[in-house]
Amino acid sequence: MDPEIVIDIRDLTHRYKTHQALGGVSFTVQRQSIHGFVGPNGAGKTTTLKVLATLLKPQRGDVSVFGHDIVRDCKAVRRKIGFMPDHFSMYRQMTVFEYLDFFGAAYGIGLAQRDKIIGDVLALTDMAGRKDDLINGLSRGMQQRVSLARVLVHDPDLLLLDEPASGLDPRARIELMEILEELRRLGKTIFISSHILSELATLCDHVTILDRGQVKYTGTMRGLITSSDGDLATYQLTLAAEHPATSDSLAKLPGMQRVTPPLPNEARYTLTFDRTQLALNTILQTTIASGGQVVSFAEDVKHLNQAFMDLTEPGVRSDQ
Amino acid sequence: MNFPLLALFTRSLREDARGAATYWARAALATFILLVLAGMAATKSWIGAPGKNFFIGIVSLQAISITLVGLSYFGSAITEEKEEQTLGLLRMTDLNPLSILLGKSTSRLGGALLLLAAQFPFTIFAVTLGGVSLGQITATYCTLGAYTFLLCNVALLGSVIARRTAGASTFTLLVMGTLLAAGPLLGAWNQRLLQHGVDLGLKPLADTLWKASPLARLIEILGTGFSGSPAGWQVASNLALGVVFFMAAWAAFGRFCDRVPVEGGSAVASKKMLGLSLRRPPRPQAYALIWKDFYFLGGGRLGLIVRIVGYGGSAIFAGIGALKGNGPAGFTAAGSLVTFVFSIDLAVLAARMFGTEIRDQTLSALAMLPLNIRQIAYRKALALLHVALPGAIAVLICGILTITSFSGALRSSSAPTPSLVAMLVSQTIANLVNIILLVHVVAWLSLIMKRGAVPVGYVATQAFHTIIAVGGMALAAALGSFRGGNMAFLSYSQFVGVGASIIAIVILHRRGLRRLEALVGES
Repeated sequence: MDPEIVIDIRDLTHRYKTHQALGGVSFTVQRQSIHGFVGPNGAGKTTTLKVLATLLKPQRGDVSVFGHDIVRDCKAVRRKIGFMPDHFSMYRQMTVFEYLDFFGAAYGIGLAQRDKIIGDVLALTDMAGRKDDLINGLSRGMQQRVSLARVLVHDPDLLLLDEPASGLDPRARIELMEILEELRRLGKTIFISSHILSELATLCDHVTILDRGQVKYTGTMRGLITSSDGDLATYQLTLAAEHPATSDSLAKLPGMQRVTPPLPNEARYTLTFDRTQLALNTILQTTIASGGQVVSFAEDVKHLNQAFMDLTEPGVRSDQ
Repeated sequence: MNFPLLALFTRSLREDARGAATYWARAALATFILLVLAGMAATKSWIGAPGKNFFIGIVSLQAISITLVGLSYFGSAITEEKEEQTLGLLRMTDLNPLSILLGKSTSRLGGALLLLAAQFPFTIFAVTLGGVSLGQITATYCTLGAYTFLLCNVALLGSVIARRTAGASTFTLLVMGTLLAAGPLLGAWNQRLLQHGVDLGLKPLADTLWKASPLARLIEILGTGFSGSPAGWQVASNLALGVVFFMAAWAAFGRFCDRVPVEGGSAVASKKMLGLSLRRPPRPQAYALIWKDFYFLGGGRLGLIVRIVGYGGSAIFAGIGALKGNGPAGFTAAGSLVTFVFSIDLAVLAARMFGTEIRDQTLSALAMLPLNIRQIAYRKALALLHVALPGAIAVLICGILTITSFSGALRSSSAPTPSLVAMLVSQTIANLVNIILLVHVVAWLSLIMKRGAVPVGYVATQAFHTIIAVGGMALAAALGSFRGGNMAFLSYSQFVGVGASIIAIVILHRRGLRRLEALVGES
């Protein structure tokens, strides 16, 4: 198995009594990446996360985490992962320190080592000043931080976070994303689910989009928002005014596949070309040489929400 | 629904009418009654007045069931909305306090009364067995109905005042305890004053209060030759008091329910409210799960001290009392009381063992530990055994004292002492198995019901024992063991009871673990 692959899911299928939650889901997650897991409500994200977290046995398919089968090597997997569910899983009558101390002890970490680890995770989550507060009295954002701290206590290599930002105010969301960035720098792999793609856009380098139990897209975030496909690139060229001569010159370039003419009253051309045969500089030089006045030249990028809408189906999922 | 006053009430009735659980509960009760009836019919040629015995047994179980189940069922009427923070949403609609009270409480009362009514036709069969008349049965159901009405409305007031169901149940227990015990206590106090030559004229009041209690009324009804009215003073007073408590709940609604404080508040406020718990527990070492449940579920050191004092004190007190005048019977009574309290204490702990994890949604976090579900369950059980240790020791001491006392008393008599001691020992084992069964039933119920696992578990266990006992008697009757005063059937029925309980424990144990695994996946 490729050591760079942390999560390997193949043909994962799960059915609840009334509906098919997952229907043959397959994707991989790379080491030290922040991998977004996006889908509308009821897409099957939480079911996939529960399977990865060893809380739910897969009915069909193979799932491995760090090369360990999640059914056969359940304990080994649990030691390597930290799962933060989409609800607060808290003992509210404990103080923040007691809560982390309990989980540290439950993972068999010795007293001295536990002190250091708890200090570190409290510092990372910026909760050191509230360690003696009762969890019951903390705000939602702070409880989320404590929840994240709990996940980190046994120093897992992979974090499974189920909609960690839901219900947080904008500041708390940004701070949470900063903590996740910091965790990536510390070498953690983060698998994070959300039903809002734009929330993960700046954070994730990879993304998997799930809809109605099917993978609609898995790959880089950039691949999702660009129209480029492998060697075939799509760029937008905007001129000051419509210029047919430029269009003709570009169409004759070797490697140029298609030059889509602009809409009326617009001077924006969509160019599709083989990037191995045609350099960007050549396109620009040809445009200028043919008399075209360049306003902008950039890769064709779809709006994230549009990309999401294109991939997922409208309407509420009905039982299947 | 265009009439807001009855909107909730109608909805609750509709839900009850559509829910399968309502019909299953009625069917289960009717089946239970028919099974017991069949058992009694099988033994009627050896037991005098089987109809009356059957009816007293059923009524006793019903009265205990209504009290225990009612504490949480009626007590959660308003608190469940507070706990789920939905009361504010109800108040934002056109529903006024009266419609909320009617909808949330009166519908439950209706359900409970219908449950009683459903049993009525079956208990009439008791008349055919002899020893009880239709008038007695009718009067008994009137008594139970009025008592249920009072209990429901006391619990409603508790539910309005308290923030949580546990608080409402405690309030109901205290008020009902005071109402029921007021007559006898006042009578005893009056008696004592009279012995000292003081007459405050409290006897009529004590008598009136005593006659208002369902216990006094049931004793009167089930006595030989009862021919009174179905609705006596107890029915009238209980109904009137019930109305008073309903009005009080209505009056208190605005004060306690219009602005329900959000749980938690500031950490500092919570710390102050904790009082004695300000001294935090020591840090966990190995077996962190045991540490957590011991300190945060069982009350920790403070809980342990309270239990040592409570159990130890009551065992010593009862023992001294028994030694002074009551002899072996005193020991038995003390032992029974301590055993009963211990079984309820253990049942409460069992209900909280997983109930709080489910309520606080912490089961998934626990399941992520490098332990399997079985290990998690056993460690949690071990923590609660630590908490329950003083009670277990007290029960053991009472059992030993009872056996010792009996064997001492019987040594001088001609009775076959060893066999009686053996019977006591087997009874002690049976009690132990019964407690373990109760704990398993309650723990399993806590995995499938939101609240009320303890009372429902207690009632279900008692019903199970009744069916097994009656079944055992029927079996003994069929084998002719009663003939010639042969009491061997007692041993048989005890063996059958213990065997059936052990089978039930094993089944519940397995199903509980399976249910836990399913809950982890659902959580």
